[in-house]
This record gives sequence, C-alpha cells and structure tokens, in this order.
Amino acid sequence: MIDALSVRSLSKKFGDVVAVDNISFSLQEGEILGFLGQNGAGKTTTIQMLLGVLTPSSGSISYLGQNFFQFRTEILERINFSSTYTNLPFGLKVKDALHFISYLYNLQNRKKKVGELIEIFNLGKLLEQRIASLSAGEQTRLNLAKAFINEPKILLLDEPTASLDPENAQIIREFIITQRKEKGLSVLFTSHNMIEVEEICDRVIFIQSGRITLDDTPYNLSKKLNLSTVRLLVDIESPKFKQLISTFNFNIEHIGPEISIKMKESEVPSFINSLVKEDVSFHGLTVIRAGLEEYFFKDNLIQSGTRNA
Amino acid sequence: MLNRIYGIFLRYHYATIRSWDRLTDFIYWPIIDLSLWGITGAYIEASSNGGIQVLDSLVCGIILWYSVYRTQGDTSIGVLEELWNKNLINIFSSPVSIFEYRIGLLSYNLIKLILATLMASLIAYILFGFNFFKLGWIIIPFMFLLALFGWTLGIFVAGLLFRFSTKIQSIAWTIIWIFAPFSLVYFPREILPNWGQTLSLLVPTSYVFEEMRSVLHGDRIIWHNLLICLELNLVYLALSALFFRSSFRAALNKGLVKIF
Repeated sequence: MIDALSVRSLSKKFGDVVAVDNISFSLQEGEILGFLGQNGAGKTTTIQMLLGVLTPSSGSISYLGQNFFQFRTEILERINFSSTYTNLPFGLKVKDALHFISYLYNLQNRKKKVGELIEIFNLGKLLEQRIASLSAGEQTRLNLAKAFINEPKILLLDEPTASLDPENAQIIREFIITQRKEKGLSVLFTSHNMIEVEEICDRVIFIQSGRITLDDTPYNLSKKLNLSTVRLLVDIESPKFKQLISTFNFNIEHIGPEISIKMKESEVPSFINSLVKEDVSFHGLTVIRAGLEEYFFKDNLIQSGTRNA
Repeated sequence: MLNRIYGIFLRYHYATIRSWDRLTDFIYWPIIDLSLWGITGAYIEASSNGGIQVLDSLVCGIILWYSVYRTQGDTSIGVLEELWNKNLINIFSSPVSIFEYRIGLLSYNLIKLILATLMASLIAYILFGFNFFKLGWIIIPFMFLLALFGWTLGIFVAGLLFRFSTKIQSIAWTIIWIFAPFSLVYFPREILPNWGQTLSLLVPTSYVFEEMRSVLHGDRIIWHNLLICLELNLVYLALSALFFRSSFRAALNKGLVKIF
C-alpha cells in the first residue's frame, strides 16, 4: 500500500541553526496523524516544506508515491492546508476569495462545491463581508473552507481549531472524521489542544528541537506514561488522611475545593482501598487516566531537564 | 493552466473593484497630471504667442507615460499586496506556478492599462480637446513597448521584494521616477546634458517618446529606433526575469511565510 505522505531524512538549516533535523515519517491513507511539539520545535517549518513554500536543505517528500519536487502541480491539486499563520486577502469579500481560489484548484462543478462548503462551514451570512471584518473564528472557518475546496486527498492542518468556539471546533472535528471515513482523507494535524488530538488522531508524532522523539498511538503513549490523577473532596486536615498521604508519599495539588493527586495507575486501587479501610470521609472521587497532555508536559519537561521522569 | 491564470486575474480584479483607492486611481491621477501639465503647456504656448507648440506633446506624453507607470506600479504593488496580506502561501501552496502567477498578474495589468489609457484620453479630450487616437494605430506598438519596460521594472521590483521583503517597499512607487527624466517624456533628447543624453540612449522608453513627438510633428517614424527600443526591452526583461527567479528561489530558501 502506498503511503499518502512519505518524508525521508528531511532537514532544514537556517545558517547554523538546524530547524528540522533529519526527520522521517509517513502518513497512511485515511490516517489522522497528530504532529505535536512546543512552539519552535520545527512543526511549522516541516509543514512549510511539505507545502513547497520552503526549500528543504536535504531529504525527500513523496505524496501518494510521487516525488513532490518532480510532480509539484499534480500533487498540489490533491492536497491542501489550513493554518493560523496565513490570511486570505483582507480587501476581498468572502465570496470573492472562494471564487478566485476555486479557479486556482481547477475545480469542476465550481458552484456546487463552493455552495456545499458555504453550508458546511456556516459562511452563508458572511459572503458579502470583507475578510478584514471577520472575527478570528470566522476567518478560521473560511480558511478551512478553502482547505476543503479541492476535495483534497491529503490535508495539512496547522492548529485549525485554535480560534474556534467549542461548538464550531466540534463541528470541524466531526467533519474531518467524516471526510476520512467517506473519502479516505489523510490528515497531518498540529494542535496544542491535547484532548482534541486524542479525540481525532490515530497516531501522534512528537517533535522536539527539530527531531522526532516519539511516534506512537495516543493509547500506547498513555499506557507508557502509567499515570493517573485521583481527584476528591476530602478534609485534608484529618489525621487519618494525613497519615495515608504520608504512607504513600504523594504530593497534593489543590484545585478549587478538590484535591488532585498524581500517582501510578497501579497505585490507584490500593490508594482507594486504603481510603475505605482507614475510614477516611471523602466525596466525589474521580480517577482520570493520563492523556497526551500529561505526556506532552512530561516529555517537554524531561527534555528541558526541569523534572525527572 | 488557463484556469489558474484566470484565478490570479480574478484575485486582482476583486482587489481593484473592492477598493475605492484603486478605482479613484483611474480618474484622480489622470485629472491631476493632465491638468497640471496641460495648463503649463497652454501657458508656455500663450507666452510664446504660439511660437512653441508643446501642449499636444505634453498631454500625449502623459497619457503614454501611464503605460510605463501603471504596469510597473501595478506589477510591484500586486506582489506587495500578497506580502501585506500574508497570502503568498495560499497562492504558492496551490498548483499555481510562478510563471502562471506572473502571467495572471501581467494580463490583469494589461486590462487595467487599457482602461486607464481610455480614461486618460477622455479626460485629455474634455480638458484640452486633445484627441489621443489621432496618433493612429502606432499607439499600439508605442504602448506595447512602454508597457514592456513597465513590466520589466515591475518584475525587477518584485524580485527585490522577495529578496528584502517590505523593508524596501517604497521602491515600488519611486523606482519609475529615476527613469522619467531619461525617458524624454516631456522634452527631446537634446535638452539633456551630454552624460544624460548618453544615459537616455540606454533607456528604451526614450525612443518611444522621441518617435511620439515625430508623429505629432507630422514627421516620419524611424522604425530603427523602435527596433532598438524592443531589443533593449528584451535584454532588460530577460535580466529582470533572471533576477526575479533567483530572488524567488532565495525566498523559498528562507520560507515564504517569513517574507512580509
């Protein structure tokens, strides 16, 4: 089976600074791949190279088995992107932008396709508005409509839901998942919202200082982390509770009226068992499995040497 | 390919019709320029009791000068606008090639040039009774040769913008005026000092304006001069295109997202 996207030994140097350092990864057909890392880790530089708007120092990029540098036009007809760091021309009306872009991608059934996108991304009331007058969320919706205009086989999304309210962000996520299911869309997805990444990504890659440090499924990463958070309402001054915490050697974090305790997953049953056994009075106990967010923080902190693993 | 070129054409068309600034450009500057120079010409003619006939050549010079001024300005500002809007990535991550982009931009500028010339001709006729079209079909090669130099400069400036970004953006408006005195728009070559005359021989537009005055005076056109103009234009256009290509590559090395 041909990879939707295959990146081999890709590097980018700006003078002496290595922004992307010999990275290799692939994106399968119909896969949603989370591309994660801190600001400045090399995500955007990589995406720019994948779009052909930044020349790599070395390495190769192939889409659907075709070399990107040899088949640029054919490939760019089948991919698209949306990003928070680009804008459509401010002076144009929304309808103008969709119209001229539809020609750039040589669209068949132009009117029908644009009409569908207007409905999906709820742009109907904005068509006569200048892009400059749109809110950040409205601009994001327009950028996403632009990203889907050519019914791409591969989509590169750089923080696509960053400026959206929760309801619209959910609509967009559902739309991406539907497109993947119905049309086999492959997506490279960057976001700082780890809950969102966990919800829609089949696999995640962590990039740090231009290098890929991890490549796994969110489930496996969560398992590897072996961390849970227990939250409960309890009288922390009660001697029984104090004794228990000191036995387990836990750190307590106060979150509103609740306390939050991070522990290994294997410690959760014995901790709860001890609470009951020692007759500690508590309410509203919740156990939260560690997700990508914890992994993201842990990984970044490990790398910056501020905390031990 | 034609669809993509048309897409770029549409992008600039919408930018023009949605902007009062650009629409008024069609009327405002022709009125100002033609009024100023036309009245000056009329005054000189009146002062010399009709001994010096300059009104027609000044008004005609201004109308033809728009062919250089507009094509250079519109080409450079077209690129500049993509930088201001951070729209370069949207364009160059689409299947549009740099060649198609240039053709789309230049063809839109050609339409604008024709409209602007028509507008300036109308204003000249209303204000001074000067009929620009009395020059006849020779207007077409004149305008083509002048526009060619405008595009050459526009492409050169676009190359500079890709290399140095908006830090040097004022050059988009000012570069043309360096060539204005040596283009001989308002006066013949002999008026310039010797070094200026030599320099003007290297400026293609100077040959067109010299021939324009010949036509207005009822003299024969020296085709050889227009051929020199074409040759110079082609050499400069080739150099400008090479510079643009190397600048675009340099911009791709830096990343188009960083060019603004």
